[in-house]
Amino acid sequence: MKEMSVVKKSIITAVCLALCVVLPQAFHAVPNAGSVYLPMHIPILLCGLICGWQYGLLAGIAGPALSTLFTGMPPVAVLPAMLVECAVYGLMSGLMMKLIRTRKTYLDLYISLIVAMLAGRIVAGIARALIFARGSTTIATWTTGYFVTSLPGIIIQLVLLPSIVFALMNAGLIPRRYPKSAGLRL
Amino acid sequence: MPIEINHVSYTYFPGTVFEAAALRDVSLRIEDGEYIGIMGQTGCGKSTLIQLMVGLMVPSEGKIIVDGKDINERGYQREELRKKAGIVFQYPEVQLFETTVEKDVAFGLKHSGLSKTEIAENVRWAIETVGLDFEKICAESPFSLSGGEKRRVAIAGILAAKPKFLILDEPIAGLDPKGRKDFLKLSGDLNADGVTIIMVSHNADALAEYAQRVIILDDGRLIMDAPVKEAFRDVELLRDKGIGIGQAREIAHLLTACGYPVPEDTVRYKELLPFLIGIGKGGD
Amino acid sequence: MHRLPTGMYLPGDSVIHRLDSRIKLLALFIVVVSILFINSLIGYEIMVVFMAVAVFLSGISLKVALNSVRKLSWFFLLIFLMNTLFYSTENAWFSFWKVTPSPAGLMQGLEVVLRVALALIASNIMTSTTAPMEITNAIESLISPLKLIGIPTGQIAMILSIAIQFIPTLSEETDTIRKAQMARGARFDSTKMTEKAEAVMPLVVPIFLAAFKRADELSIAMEARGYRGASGRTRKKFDPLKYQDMSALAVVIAICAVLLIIRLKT
Repeated sequence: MKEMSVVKKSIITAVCLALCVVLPQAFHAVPNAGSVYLPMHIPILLCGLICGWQYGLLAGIAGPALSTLFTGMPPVAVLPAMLVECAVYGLMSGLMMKLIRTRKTYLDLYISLIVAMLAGRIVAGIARALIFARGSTTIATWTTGYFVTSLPGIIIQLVLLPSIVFALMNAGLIPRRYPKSAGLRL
Repeated sequence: MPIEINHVSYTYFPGTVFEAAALRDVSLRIEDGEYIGIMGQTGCGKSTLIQLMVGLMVPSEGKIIVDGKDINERGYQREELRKKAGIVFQYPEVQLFETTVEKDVAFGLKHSGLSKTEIAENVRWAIETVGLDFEKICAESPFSLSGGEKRRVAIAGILAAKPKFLILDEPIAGLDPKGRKDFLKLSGDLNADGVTIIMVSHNADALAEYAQRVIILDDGRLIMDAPVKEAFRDVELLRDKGIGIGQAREIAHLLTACGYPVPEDTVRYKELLPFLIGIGKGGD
Repeated sequence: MHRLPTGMYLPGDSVIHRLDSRIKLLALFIVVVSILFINSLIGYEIMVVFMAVAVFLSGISLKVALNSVRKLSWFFLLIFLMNTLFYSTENAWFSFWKVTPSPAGLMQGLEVVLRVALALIASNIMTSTTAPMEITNAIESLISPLKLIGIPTGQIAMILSIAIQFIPTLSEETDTIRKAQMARGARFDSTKMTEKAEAVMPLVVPIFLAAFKRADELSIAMEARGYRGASGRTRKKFDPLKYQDMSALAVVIAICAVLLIIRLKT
């Protein structure tokens, strides 16, 4: 399988958006789901990693919005900051995958993910302080818990996302990043 | 380990606009070692019933009693039920997730308390029982397998726990004829080994071949709970309820209508064959 | 799913059902932004009355409208407690380490809870009275000016509408996967850090595989039918706005203007 078509990337993005709404609901069965696993971030990061920064960006903006619209979570008050954070996730994961080529897929994934997740949190933090300063104290008191459990979340995503990517590659649903070609080693 | 379903009802979304009664006052009893078929039109409550049986859902009314214990009573250990019951959903291959076939099949045994050697033995047994070559396949990624292989791996994953009763929801959907034959034979072999089999299926011929008893649901109500021959006797009733009666019975019925003395309890090909041969030879 | 998903579309013929979906979307946006600006008792009173009227006009029973609020009650409790206990140290009733419950915190807690509840009800009114496809058409229409700066609004709208259509399908699929794994003995609750990711793999990996399989099938089907991209795609033609739409929008703007004035005066 070569590069994915625009149609395929678009539909993958659509599916990731749907999962932004569906996944948090599925995690209801898991205790502490919301703050630890951050289920909504998974499809967004994945979209950026697989389809590129434009699609990742769209996923990051539309994902949380759809989730709030259809399930009420994340709550509207938190949505603006969440939009910024997720937009950066989608954008950066896509950008980094474009820029980093270590010849080892899992390394590319780890680096892109770490950069994206840190960048997202930093930018969102700045945005909260400057733009969403109104009521930032209340959001801050709520997100204190969020940041404390943030590190485990990052580690979990680092384990989950590459596993998902490799499963998809093994199933032939997305192209391999470095095709195992028998001949030329470019 | 008899399963008793006592006056069970289930309603989805009670008290809302979308309220829908899936099961209405259903009662039945399944003994150890039986092979039961469950039939009914789409939406008749089959899926709801089997999920209630394994404790995935709690009935709105009524009790589910397994081995003498009410599974929804406070204090009942679900673990007990998990060890005894296995359920294979439709298109079970979606449950595959591990990096190798061996790990995926072993997944269900993680919390079973068995030793590593015992688990490895069960896994090998399960994979071979579904007709796959253990050595060849154990280290493969489940996702690189063919559709038929994936399904076998998924079923192996459930068999590895050696359940005492096995529920199968349309297990042969989407399989080619050989796959279907292999699977049905497997179910028969397991039943011969003492595993209680409960199979939801539209395929009346398959059930006629292997099941001893057939249960038919219609719009959430139990309308038939009888041995296979009796269940398929009244062709008009079944047709009226939208239940496919299987080709063997259909042919027998048509022949009877044409005046040939084919007995009403002919439900299997093997039973039909002598009559066809007789008719073909020009006699009765 | 045994719980009714909140905010689901409930077909009807009420005043609000019949409004143009673009107006509703705009109105929702304006209302939610104003809710975030209220900080006086009278402001809240006005908004609560407005919401009550809106619920009445939408034909949705009060019970259903409040259902979504009730579902988040644990979250509201948490926010309320966190604010009460940590928001400010002035006039604290007592002090224990960092815990300083204060009247200011109490008020802040109440305000935040009220704001989120109101916004939730507003957004529920929107989703209950507008079919998902209508929502996407409205979004596409409202963002179409962005085409001028090179943003592919048609493609975005297509992605959104496909996403919305996938939600019920994937939700059901996810439910099946969860049940199948649970029946296999999967346990999603584990306290050890290292096991947390492992515990959740049997849920997450199959869900993505199933979802991507559907994506694969759909994209093959679309390309086989000659679909190349969203340009030239037929868009929903909206009926011209009726006077009900305009007046509804006017009412919303008026109320929010009033709230803004109240806010600026305090």
